[in-house]
Amino acid sequence: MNELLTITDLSKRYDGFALRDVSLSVFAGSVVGLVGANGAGKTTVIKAALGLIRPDGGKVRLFGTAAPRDAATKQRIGVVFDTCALPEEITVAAAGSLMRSVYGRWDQAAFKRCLGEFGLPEDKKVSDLSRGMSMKLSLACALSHGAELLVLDEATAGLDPIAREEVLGMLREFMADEGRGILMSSHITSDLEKIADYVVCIEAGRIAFSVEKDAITDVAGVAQCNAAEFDSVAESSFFAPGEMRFIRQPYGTAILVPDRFAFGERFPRIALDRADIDGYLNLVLKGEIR
Amino acid sequence: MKAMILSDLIIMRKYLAQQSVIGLALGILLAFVMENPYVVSPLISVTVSGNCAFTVLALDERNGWERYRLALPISRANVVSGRYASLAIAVAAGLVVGLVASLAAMALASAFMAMGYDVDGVRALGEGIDPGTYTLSASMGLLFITVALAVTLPLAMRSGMTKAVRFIPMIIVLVVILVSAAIGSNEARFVAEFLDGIFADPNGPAMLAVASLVGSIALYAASAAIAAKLYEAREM
Repeated sequence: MNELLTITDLSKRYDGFALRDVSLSVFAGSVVGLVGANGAGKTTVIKAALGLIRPDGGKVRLFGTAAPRDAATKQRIGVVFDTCALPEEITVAAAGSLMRSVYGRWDQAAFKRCLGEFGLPEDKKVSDLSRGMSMKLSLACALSHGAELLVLDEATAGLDPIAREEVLGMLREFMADEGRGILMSSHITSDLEKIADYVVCIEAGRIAFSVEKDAITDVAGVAQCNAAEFDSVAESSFFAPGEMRFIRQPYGTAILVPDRFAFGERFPRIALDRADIDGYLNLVLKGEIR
Repeated sequence: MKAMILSDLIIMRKYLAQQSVIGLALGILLAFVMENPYVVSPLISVTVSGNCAFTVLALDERNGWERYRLALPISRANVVSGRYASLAIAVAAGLVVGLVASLAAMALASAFMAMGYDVDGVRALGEGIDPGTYTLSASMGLLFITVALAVTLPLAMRSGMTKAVRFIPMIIVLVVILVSAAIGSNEARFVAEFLDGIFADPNGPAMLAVASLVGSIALYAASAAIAAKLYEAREM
């Protein structure tokens, strides 16, 4: 598969925080969701991918060979940060002019179409836009120059559910071309459930897990056990030693089940729910291991 | 570089227009208050270009624009060279505003004299200027703003404007102390003698203005080279 972004063994040290040996890839045709707690290192990974910081170790490659600081390479990337980073004093129309001066393949018609779809008035100043509107403007800029890779850092944070759905719709439209890909960090895991193909979790500067999203939402499950059921599962050979993750709760114990269908056959009487990314994250990061 | 210049000009144009109008009015007023056509150009050019430059530098840090700009297809070298070029355009605009303000003040003074208001202050403006001395005074304004930018820009490129402003007052105080000490010492008598010599020669002011212009350009270019090195290492 065609790799749009490849990060290999990325390390970066700051006072009180270190990113260690982070590797991930964004392939053409895929959306990679980056999850993790605040301060886990998601933004550091994104900054390294965009050449905003120099890694202490490891490699970042864009589109196979290019280095992230290469200006020509950045023509092929659309970026949206967690706030609208355009100068506050310019208007929406001036933001378009600014982007036209920067991107060789800027498509003014596509930009105007985005403005129309998002309901963004051209004469309004960036400082007068609501958070939702300003994020839509950032997205309009990222989607109007024929980008092949979108890098989104908490781009849907602070948007209401309707605005988030609109943004996700635009991203799905972007992904209609199979040569494109998205790296998207988000705390809103329900958005990732709707759009991501892979989920990469960073915890304290390290990769905690990197799986296909379907392995979480379609295959994994969470078993809700009482004490006797928990003991029967724990004493069975269903989980290899050190692979059973669980969280004790007031009225029972939740066990992360990698394959809920196999589990259901083996323990048909135990209540079993589909896993979602939040539950999966919680059990992987905070669960006890047996 | 072109993209950076254009992006700076898009951001700066509103401030530049505002400052130009204010500078024009202020320049005419100052000329009459100070009864001196030579002070207008340096004062107004420094005010207009300085305000624009420091506004653009301050806006870099608002909303994370500086970080976002580096995620756009503009190389770090082009960010620096484009910034120096766009601020040079602001300085040139300031000089033009200063010149227009002086010419307007002189035209107004001539009109007043023609109407019979022949008082000392009006006469000082209405009787014309010595081009060499005027060019020298304008070049001193240029030198001043160039030195200010040449010191500020590398610091702003290295650490951002918020951190850079912590060092700028210290540098200004240091320069003032050194200059005061130099002027107060006997060894600095050659400066006064040099200036006496310049003004004794009819071509002296123009020659000093050219030397000042060349010095300003050399200083600005050296500052840009240092800023480019510093900005390469900057982490956002």
